[in-house]
Amino acid sequence: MKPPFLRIPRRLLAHPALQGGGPFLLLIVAWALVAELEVYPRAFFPGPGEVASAFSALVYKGILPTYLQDSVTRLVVGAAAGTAVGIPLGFLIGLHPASYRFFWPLVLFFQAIGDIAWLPILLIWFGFTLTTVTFVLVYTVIFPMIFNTALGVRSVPVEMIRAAQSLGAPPVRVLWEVLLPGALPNIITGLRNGLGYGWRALIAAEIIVGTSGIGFMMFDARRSGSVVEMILGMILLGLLWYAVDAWVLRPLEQATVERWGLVRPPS
Amino acid sequence: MEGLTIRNLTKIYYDPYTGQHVVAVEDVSLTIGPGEFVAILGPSGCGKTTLLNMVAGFVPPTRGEILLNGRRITGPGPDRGVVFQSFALFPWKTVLENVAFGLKMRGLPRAERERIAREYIALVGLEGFEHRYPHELSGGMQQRVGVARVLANNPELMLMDEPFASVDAQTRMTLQEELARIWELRHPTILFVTHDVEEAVFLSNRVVILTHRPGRVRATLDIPLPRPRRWRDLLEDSTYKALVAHVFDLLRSPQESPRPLREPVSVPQALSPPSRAAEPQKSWWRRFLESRPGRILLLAILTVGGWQGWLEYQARTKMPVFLEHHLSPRGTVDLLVQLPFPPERFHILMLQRFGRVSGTQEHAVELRSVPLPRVREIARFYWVRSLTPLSDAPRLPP
Repeated sequence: MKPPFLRIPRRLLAHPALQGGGPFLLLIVAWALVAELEVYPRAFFPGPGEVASAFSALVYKGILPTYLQDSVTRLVVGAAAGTAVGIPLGFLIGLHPASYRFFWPLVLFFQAIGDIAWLPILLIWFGFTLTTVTFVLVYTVIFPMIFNTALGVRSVPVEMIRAAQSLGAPPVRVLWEVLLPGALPNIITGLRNGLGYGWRALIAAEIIVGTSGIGFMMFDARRSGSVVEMILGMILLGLLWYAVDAWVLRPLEQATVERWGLVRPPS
Repeated sequence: MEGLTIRNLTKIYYDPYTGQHVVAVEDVSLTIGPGEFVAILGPSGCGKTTLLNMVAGFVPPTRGEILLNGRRITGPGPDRGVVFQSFALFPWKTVLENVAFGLKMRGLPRAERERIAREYIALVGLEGFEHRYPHELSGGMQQRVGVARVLANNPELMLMDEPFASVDAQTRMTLQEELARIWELRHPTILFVTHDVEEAVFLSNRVVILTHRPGRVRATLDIPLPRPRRWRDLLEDSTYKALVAHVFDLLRSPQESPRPLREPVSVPQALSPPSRAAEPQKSWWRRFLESRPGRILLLAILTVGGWQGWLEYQARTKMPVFLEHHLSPRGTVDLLVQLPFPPERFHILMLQRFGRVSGTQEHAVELRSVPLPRVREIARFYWVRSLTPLSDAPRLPP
C-alpha cells in the first residue's frame, strides 16, 4: 500500500512538464549500461535497479516519506518567510531613495557572506536545531527576492503609474494595482532563484545539522557506505525541483505574466 | 472660474547630458473654457508635452500657475484624465477592468462600475472585447481603451498627449473621426497635444501654436469648421485647406514670433582657453551621440541671415531626415564652423571646397563666401557642432 502522499492525481502526471521524459530515459539507459558492464565495482556504482529497490525499501520502512516531508516542509516554511520579508523590502528599496541608500550597502555586504558561512556561528547560537536550518534557508531566499523585486518595481513604466494616479489612485492602490503586478515577472524570477538556492542551501544545512531530511539521509549513508542511498538522494533532489517547477512555478507564470503578455511563453 | 487657466507658465530643467539648464516652456498663458477642444501644436521638442505634464500634475512648473475650475493644480488627480501616446494600459487587467479602473478607485460597487464601463466600451466601439487583455488588441484598439478609460472616469479636463502618433495612418484617421464624434456627442473639455497640423485643425475648436524650444505661444487660431467633421468632407473643403495652410505658415514664419527666432548657438566653449584638465573628457558631441544611440539626432543648428533651420541625422544611417528648407538657395555666407575635431591640414583642404578658410582656432574654422546650398554639405561631411554666420559669432583672434 502506497503512503497517501505518493497517490498523485492522474491529471498532474499528464502535465506537459512531465512529458519530457525522453532525455532522462536516455540517461538511465546509459547509466544502466555502465553499471551492467561493471566498469566500476558494483558497490560503488550501482545500477538503476538497485536504486529503485532501495527506494521501495525506504518507502516501505517509512524513512523516506518522513525525510521527504521534513525537507519539503522546511523549504516551504523558509521560502514563505523569506518571500514575506524579501518582497516588502524589495519594494521599499525600489521605491524609496533614502531606503535604497540605507539598505543597499547592507544587502550587498550580507549577500557576500554566503549561507554556509553562517553555519559555524549558528551552530553555537542555536545548536543542531530547526532554527539553524530555517535561518540559513530564509537568509538564502531573501536576497534574490530583494534584488528582483527592487528591479521589478523600477522597471514599471512611469506612464502606467501616472495613468493610475490621474485616474484617482492613491499611493496604496498604485502599489497594489500597478507596481505589484508590474513587478511580478521579476518577482517570479526572484522566487525561482530564491527557491533554487534555498533548496541547495537546505540540503547543505541538513548535511551539517543532521537530524532528518534528504540531505541527512545522503550524508548518513556515507557511514554505512551505501552508495545506493546517496544516488537515490540525488535523484530525489532533482525530481523534487522538477515537481516544484511543474506544479508551482510554471502554473503561476502561465496564469499571470504569460496570460498578460508581459513575457512570451517558452517554445 | 470655469475651465483651465494657465498663467505665465515656465519650466526650466537641467539636462545632465549637456550640463545645461534648458528652458522647455517659457511664459505660456492660456485659458480653455468648459466643453472646448483645444489643440496645442508645435514642432517636436518644443515643450508641448512638458506643458501637458505640468497640467496633468506629473511635473511641477518652475514658475507660474495652473488653475482648473479655480483650484490650483499641485499633483495628478482624477479631475484630469490623461490619454498617453504609449497607451499606458494595465496589461494585467482586461479591457473591462482597465476602463472601470477609475470608478473602482472611486469606490463604486462592482456591478455599477461594470455597467458604466460597458457603456464607454460601446461608445468607443469595442463591444465583445471586454474580457480581452491589452496585448491581445491592436494598437488602435488599445488606444480606444485608453480613451474609454479616461471618459468613463468623467474628468473635468481630458489631456491627450499625441494619442494617435503611434498607430498607422489608416487607423489614425478612423480614431480622429471617432474622437470628433465623441466630442460632438458629449463635449468633454479636451487639451490635445500634437505635432500634426492636419490633426489639430481637424479635431479642435482652437489651435494654439507654440514656438520651437523654448516653447512660447506664437499664435492662437480659431477653427470655425462645421461639425460633424469627417475626413471625406473636409479633405476637399476649401476652408479646411486654407486653415491648414495658414497654420503651416504660422508654424514656420519667424515674423509671428514675439522675438526673432534665433537661439544662442553655443560657440564660446571651444573658443575659450582650453582647460587641460578637461582634455581627457569626451567631447560634447561624443557624449550626445552615445546618449542617443539609434535615435534621430539634432546635429546642426543653423542661424544664417537671421533665419534658423536645423539638420537632423539618423544616427544609424547618417542620412539627413529633415533639412533646413528656409535657406534661400542663392547668395553666400561667411560661416564659423564648429568641427567635432581639430581641423588638421586634410580638413582645411576639404573645407576649401566649400569656401575660403580665413582662420582656425581649436575646433572652430572661419569659412568665407560659402554658397548657401553648400552649407548643408558642410554639415553632412563633418558632424559639425554648429554653423554660425560670422556676423553673429565672436571673432577669432587673428
